[in-house]
Amino acid sequence: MEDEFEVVAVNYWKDVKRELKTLLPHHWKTMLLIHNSIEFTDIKNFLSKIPCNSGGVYISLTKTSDSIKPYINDTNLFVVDCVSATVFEKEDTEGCSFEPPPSNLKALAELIDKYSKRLKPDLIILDSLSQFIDFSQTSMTEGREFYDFLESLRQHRPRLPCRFILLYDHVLSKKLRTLPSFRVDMILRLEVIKEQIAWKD
Amino acid sequence: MAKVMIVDDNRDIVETLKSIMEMEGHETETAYDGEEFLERVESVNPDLVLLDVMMPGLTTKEILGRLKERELNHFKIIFVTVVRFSEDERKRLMTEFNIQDFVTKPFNLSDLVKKVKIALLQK
Repeated sequence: MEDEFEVVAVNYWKDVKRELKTLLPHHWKTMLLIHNSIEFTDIKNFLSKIPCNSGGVYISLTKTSDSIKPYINDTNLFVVDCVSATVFEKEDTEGCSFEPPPSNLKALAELIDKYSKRLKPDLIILDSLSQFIDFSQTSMTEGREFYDFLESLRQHRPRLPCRFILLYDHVLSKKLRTLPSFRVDMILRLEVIKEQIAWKD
Repeated sequence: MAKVMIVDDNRDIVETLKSIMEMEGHETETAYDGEEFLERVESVNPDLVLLDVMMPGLTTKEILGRLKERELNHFKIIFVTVVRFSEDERKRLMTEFNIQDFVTKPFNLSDLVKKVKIALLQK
């Protein structure tokens, strides 16, 4: 029975809690952040550790801007909401633009290009890459498209000093079989553990 | 037993929801985009629709608008979606478009089943 199984991936993870303060300000341009949290507050806490002087652009593919507004009022994040206009009539505001959801990674790259040229941010956060790729089962075509997308982000670098955080929802804990081995400077895994605390008398 | 129509562009999700609903004793019909759903909904005449948000083709806004135009409001709708709405947006969808409830993907089985039961009991 064991002969039927082959090793398809080996992932190494390191605990970087103590190193975060030195790791996050430097050493990367494109980060893949794998997380298991459905709460925006967990992501916001992480983002607050990253220096961002000119402001950031948060591209949301799964959360309406209204749902995250209470959490970002005290940040310098501009929201590109690719969700709300598919359900409600919406008009752009000072801190938020409404766009149709990009249908593929090429359209997403064009959207990123549009807002990086317009706003010249320090940081672009994409929430979430899981809309386009599943690292538990990636086909050859999907893999190629994903690497083309990563390459397009790399081509931004000479023109704009912008960093990219690609969020990937890993809520169901499926196996991460096809993590990118290049074109991403850092892969971090954020694990939030929530339990009910029982207090003894 | 009720008739449940499942509308999602992801075939795996459709199959999963179909199996769950049939295990609960319901009859099921499926559609893979908004156009197909709108073409068939009157002939299917479901009691409940499990509807994905953000499918390719027609937007949710267009789908809900056309249901309203055609006065198709006798069936219940539950959104089964990755999309996170604010509380105000949920209330608006519930009052304007007869959305009964929201199930967030990846969904919890018992949460889905409970919400379907409650929706079907509503008059």
